[in-house]
Amino acid sequence: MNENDALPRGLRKEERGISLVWVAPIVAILITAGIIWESYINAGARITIVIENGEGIKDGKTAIMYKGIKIGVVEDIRIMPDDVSMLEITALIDKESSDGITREGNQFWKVAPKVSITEVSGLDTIISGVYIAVMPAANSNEELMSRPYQDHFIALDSPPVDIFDPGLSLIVSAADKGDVSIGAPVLYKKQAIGIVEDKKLSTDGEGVDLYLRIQSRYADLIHEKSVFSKMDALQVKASLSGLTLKMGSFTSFLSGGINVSNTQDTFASPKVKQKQLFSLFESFEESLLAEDEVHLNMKEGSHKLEAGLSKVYYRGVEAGLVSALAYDLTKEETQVQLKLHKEFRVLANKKAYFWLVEPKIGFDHVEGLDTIIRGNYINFTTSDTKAKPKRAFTLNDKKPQREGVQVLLHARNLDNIQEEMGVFYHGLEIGLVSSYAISKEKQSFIIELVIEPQYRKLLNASSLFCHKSGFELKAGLDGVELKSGSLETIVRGGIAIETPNFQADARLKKSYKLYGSDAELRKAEYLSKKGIFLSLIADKLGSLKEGSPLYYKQIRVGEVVSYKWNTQTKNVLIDIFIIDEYANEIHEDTLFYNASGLNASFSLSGLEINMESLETIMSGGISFYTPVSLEAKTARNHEQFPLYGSKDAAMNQYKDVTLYAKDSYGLIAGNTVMYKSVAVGHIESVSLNKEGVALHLKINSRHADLIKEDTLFWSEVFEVSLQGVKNFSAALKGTYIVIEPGNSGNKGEYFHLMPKKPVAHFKEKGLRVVVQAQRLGGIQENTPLYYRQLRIGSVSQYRLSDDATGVDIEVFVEPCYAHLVRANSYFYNASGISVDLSLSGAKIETESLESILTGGIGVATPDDAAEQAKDSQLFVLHDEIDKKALKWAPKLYSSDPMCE
Amino acid sequence: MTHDDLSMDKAFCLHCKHLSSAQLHICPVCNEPLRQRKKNSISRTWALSLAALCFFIPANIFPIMKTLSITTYENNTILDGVFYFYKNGEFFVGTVVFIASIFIPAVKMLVLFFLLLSVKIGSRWRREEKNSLYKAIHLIGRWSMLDIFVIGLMVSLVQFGEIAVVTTGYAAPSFAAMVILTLLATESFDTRLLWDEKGKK
Repeated sequence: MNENDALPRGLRKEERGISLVWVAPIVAILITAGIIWESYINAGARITIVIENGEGIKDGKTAIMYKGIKIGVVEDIRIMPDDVSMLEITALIDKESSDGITREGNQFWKVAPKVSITEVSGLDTIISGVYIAVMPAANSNEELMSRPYQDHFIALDSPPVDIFDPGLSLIVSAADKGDVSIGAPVLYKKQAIGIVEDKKLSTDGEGVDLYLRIQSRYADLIHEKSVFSKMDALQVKASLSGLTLKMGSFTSFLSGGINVSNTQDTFASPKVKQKQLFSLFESFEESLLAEDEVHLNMKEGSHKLEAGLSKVYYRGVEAGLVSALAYDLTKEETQVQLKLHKEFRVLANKKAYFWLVEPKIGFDHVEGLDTIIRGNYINFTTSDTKAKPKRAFTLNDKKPQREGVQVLLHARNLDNIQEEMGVFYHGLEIGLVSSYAISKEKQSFIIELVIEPQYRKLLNASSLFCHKSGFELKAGLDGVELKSGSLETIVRGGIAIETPNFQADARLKKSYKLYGSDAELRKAEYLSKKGIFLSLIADKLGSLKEGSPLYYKQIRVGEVVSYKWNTQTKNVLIDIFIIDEYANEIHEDTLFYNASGLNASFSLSGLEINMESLETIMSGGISFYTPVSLEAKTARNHEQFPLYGSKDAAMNQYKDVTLYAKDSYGLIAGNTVMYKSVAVGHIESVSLNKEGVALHLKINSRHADLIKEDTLFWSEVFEVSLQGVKNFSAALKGTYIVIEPGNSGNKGEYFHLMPKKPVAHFKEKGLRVVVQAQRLGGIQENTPLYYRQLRIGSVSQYRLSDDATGVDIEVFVEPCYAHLVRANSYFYNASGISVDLSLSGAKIETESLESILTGGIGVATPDDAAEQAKDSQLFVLHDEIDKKALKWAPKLYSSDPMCE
Repeated sequence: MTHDDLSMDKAFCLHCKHLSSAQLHICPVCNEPLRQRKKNSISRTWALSLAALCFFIPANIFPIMKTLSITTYENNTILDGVFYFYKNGEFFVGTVVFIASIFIPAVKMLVLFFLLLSVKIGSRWRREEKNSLYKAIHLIGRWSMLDIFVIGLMVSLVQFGEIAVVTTGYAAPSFAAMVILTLLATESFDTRLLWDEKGKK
């Protein structure tokens, strides 16, 4: 047994040899070695990349990225020992990736944020810093691994082609580089489908070859017939209908771009192979142009066309453009070269007609308005689309003649007739003026119209033509109507056609008359009917004029043809025309009267307006009335009739009466003359003479008997006073004249006009006495006179007595009661009420109820009645009745047998 | 038969610090075997110190912290951190980090090797100061783990997905291992050996 073991544990001798604790440093060494191995020796591959610009690259931080994944890090960056212009980067690639990265053909490039006006890329690097991206040389692992080892690379300036999406490489040859720069987008329907990778002068030095790369997924879009054209960064299209401004993408605006367009048949064409050649068009439109040019020559005139800009239209559709202009000095003609669209090329054939469109603006004529915006352009048309194409044409400066039915017009005055003016049938354009010329006789113009064949049936021998202006103004009671044709006709005018009779001879006349206006045409249309002409003799023309209508029972039956002044008879001779079917209504005794204006009569019962038609208000008119008489013969052609000023004048005969007055009292011509509230005549005129006013009355001959030598005339004026309203009807009708026929057997002609109605009972039979009162009291004209409370007369007038001590009241006593008033009769004021109060009661006395209101005069005759009072005998008016007088009761008998 | 170096008949229990008669062999208080010196002290200290030294290398040359953020991708060694603070004018913090993370572990290992060599050659030169040196490294050694705590905190706290992520590098476990090993090495050293006579055990 070991001695040591026998010792207590604490005293045992320490074991010699290697202690277990030495495992610790061994493990430590192993671990450290492991870490170092892992970190350095086994970390991955180290590669060197030569780069031109090291901006932003930081050792230890800048990553090597592959498809966005970090596969390594830049360990060191330094200037290349043998080339100070370059930098050399040492990068450590992760172990997993190192095998693939260290292969020949791999491409490295620096990705830095690029924000320029044309491009924004690598935005992620703004935050993360720049990085170095790698693109493998092959897209399959085996292929990549089969490549030889390489650890030294030269970085590219720009991203290489994506090996995983190599896309479709195309070569597009352009005449010049234009605005397309490397990196410019290739767009299809504004979607970027590729980029311009490179551009080189073509081998022949004639143009520039642009190398495009189309992304694989869009490669199917490119067919052999695809059209490559330069992007229009800014496209301005202006026409009368508006302005379109189109701008491409901002990128294309700055760096240019290439547009790929496909048409319907593009997709039918075969797909393209890599490196296929295309040509670049200036614009898409250009690609549509046919390859050969059409030559036009123009002898004279300025064309104001511009090569490359001026357009060619085929019936309004854009069909090509002017490609070149030249002036041939030897031939002295302008040569214009056109490039037409492929589909329009065939239309430039033997039957084609080219003409220049330029703006022509006049007050009456606007043409080619669109050219103001579009510029002058060339239009062409062909009458036969199947004809054989041709290359050389003449450029005309006029539109081609239209085909259609020719119609000749003759006119005294050309007015504003222009070529190309429209011909309208009720507003429908059916043709145009093709030409005009002075006739052989040098007296008129011959105008040639071309009517479109389908409208031929609208014309026949009865057709009428008139010059049509743009505006027609019609004014009527219902307003003013302004009728205008289309804007074109307003500016240009035109020719209107009217065919009144479609049953007429369908053949066209050799030449038609062109009427100057619509009205003229209407007249002609009217006069083309059958009828008779009559002459009317009038004092004055009034508002009548040529064309004024003739009405019969408010039917238009004719019109005024003309009028003239008859120097011998000093009156107006009006020729009228009446349509045949109404001619029989005109008899020898027919009365013609002027129906111009309107006739309004106004009375308390209402307003009555009489007029023939609205037209007569405006333009005047004639009407006639034929009395029923069987014997009368119908009128002959050109027979003469008098024309009365009004219907009234025609129908009624009048007696002339002249009144003299100091004043006209507001009377004016037209005021009525009344008798018993019936109109018997009217004032014809009012004139001044030395003494005053002379009023000429027309009294209807039926009432002529009223006018006697002693007939009274006075004016009735509307009056308003405290005492009442007088002659209210005069307020409405105007002042009028009232007549009071006389009894004389002699007729009179000149009279005096009284200013107002003569006193009551003027010239009546009866007794007139004068009652003198101190005051007038309530007495007025017509205040009644009572005898035993019976009305026997009234107050006819009153006045201040000559010495002004009282009032003289003239009292009229009716003839049958005249015997009641005696020389000793007692007159008293019967106005008011007398009230007698006594113990037995109240007693009220009044002459009559009327007397309470209007007052009254009472008369009593004593029992001892004297002789009958004489006219103008004076009496005293007592204020109160004498009690005695009430008891008087004389027996009086009238001597007049009429009063029985 | 007897140990030369047991100069006294008293034995100090290393476990419960009870001084008892060396004859007892077993501590009457805690029942642990009584030893005059730490078991295999020199050998253990050597082994642990060397192991610590091994870890000192990766701890300082490899990144201790990897910071991934949207803007940066950074591998930081301990020295990078120190330089970072100095560059940014944080001299105090930089100094603290330097002292705690590099200076102290290095000094600890140097002191341990110095003490071990002293024992080996039985030098009696300035034994008191050597003792003080030992006490010093024993006291401050534990603070070196501060770095690991900081990194541990960072790693657990800074986990913001895409924005910022902090992970540990190779240096972190190496550093932790180094600190632990130096602590163990310090612990296993018995200062009393400094006073033991050479060849007189």
